[in-house]
Amino acid sequence: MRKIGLIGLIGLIGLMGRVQSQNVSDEFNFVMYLVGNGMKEEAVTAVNSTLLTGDSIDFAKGYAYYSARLLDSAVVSFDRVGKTSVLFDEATFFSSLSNAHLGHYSRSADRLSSLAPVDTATANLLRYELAGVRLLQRDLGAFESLMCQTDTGDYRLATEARDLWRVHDEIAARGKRSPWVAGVLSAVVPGLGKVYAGNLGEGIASFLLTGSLMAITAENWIKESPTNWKTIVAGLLSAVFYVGNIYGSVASVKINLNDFNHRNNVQILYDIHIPLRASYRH
Amino acid sequence: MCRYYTTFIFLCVLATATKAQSFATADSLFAARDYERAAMEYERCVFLSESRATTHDALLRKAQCYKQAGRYDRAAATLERCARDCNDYAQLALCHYLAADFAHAVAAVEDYRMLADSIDENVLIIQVLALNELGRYDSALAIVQSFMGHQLDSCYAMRPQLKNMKTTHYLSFVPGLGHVYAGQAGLGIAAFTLNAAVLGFAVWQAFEHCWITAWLGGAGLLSATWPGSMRSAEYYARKYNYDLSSKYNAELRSRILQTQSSISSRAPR
Repeated sequence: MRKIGLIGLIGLIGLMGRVQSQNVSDEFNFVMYLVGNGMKEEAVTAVNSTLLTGDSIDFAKGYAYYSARLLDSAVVSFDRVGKTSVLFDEATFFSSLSNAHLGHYSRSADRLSSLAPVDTATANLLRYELAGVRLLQRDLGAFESLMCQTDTGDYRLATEARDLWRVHDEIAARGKRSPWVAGVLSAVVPGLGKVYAGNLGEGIASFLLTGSLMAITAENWIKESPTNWKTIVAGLLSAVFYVGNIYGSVASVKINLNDFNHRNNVQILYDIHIPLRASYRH
Repeated sequence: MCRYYTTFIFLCVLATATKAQSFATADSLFAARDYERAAMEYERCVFLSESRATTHDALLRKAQCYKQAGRYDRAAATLERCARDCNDYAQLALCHYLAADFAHAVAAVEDYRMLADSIDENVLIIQVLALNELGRYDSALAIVQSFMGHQLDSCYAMRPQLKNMKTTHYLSFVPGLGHVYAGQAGLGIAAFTLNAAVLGFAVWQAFEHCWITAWLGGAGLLSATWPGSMRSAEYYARKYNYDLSSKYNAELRSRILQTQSSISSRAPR
């Protein structure tokens, strides 16, 4: 009787193993279905509720978090996927991408460097992704070198590769602008510093406003007297706007540079995301 | 011996865990008011479902989860996936209405009208309320009359007298007049005084032959205060219209629901 019970128990444990494996597969497919249909919130709820474990589940968690832009959690989950897993390459690519979104460019490059692809398509994708990260780091030389080694005729990345080159050209073409020069220019001619920073409209508006106040001050100085209330009020306003304009021009250079970098970084992140989506569809 | 049997039964239960359990899990989460997880579990039922009936059932229950959680937009989005097949336009229209998406609420009832031979009065009420919110009182009244008779004609006759936006715009060419028309007399006087002071300063400076001060100081400042007054008047007119419509619609809603409830209570059983 005991022997029969023992055999039954062993059989059931084997069955449990199969059921666990089936459940993991079902959970993985379910999370991919949710993300694929735009139900990111449900996907996060699903991965937060699951008691299942394994590489597939870690990947599914990473993917759900990534989709919901919970990037820190995504990195942790993707990094848990074991090297022996068939999902390791993809998890590493997405971990790198999540790090890039978080602004951790060195970590993003390190994650990619840990990959050792066996097939040429993945190796090509790896070079492309690494080139994208180098462009985020503004290492134009490394970007050019990697892109020259990349087969940009690959349909998965052809369009995005052209975009990356365009962003590269824009970055290369934009010379460095000094906040000091902008300040000095605005001190000489109000608004000129803003034009130098790249804000033509703001520069003209500043010139007209400050210039008008200065003209009013001058007129009252000449026609009335320097101590006339109109001269004092207009003079004080002119001084405030003049100084404010110099400060604004210095800030404009920094703001414009931040805007330029942000705009290009968003484009780069998009361009390195799309080939990953095209390469790995679930 | 007993230990073996217990282990055997436990493992059997776990090993035979099937897809059918998803519904039970979701239902228990719903009963425990964990609507977020319940909605996810109902979606799992949809994912695992092999029949349309099960899919529809799961989607309807998922929509209920969102409705209970007060997330009417998501409830409506879920119902959009099955309303046509389930013919459950009433719920769809209600969720759109509760999500303040009145145009879609009206559209859902119109779809229902096209497909159904007869239409439930409660659905018509949702359409009427949505039409009221959209300011389409004539259409709303026509529907009200179709199932309530002329009981509410007097309510619809006392429509809110809304401010005409074009009139506000043209009146505010005289600073402050648009404000007075929009019911903001105090602000109107302030706007008039401010613009008159700036204009007076410009004229005074012109008489003093201070042309630059007159043009750049006076007229320049007036170019900011004058359009600013116009925009302000239009804002207050819009606010007046919104407040008045909201108040009127709230009263109308209350009257419609009262009338409907009294009709239902008088109806023979």
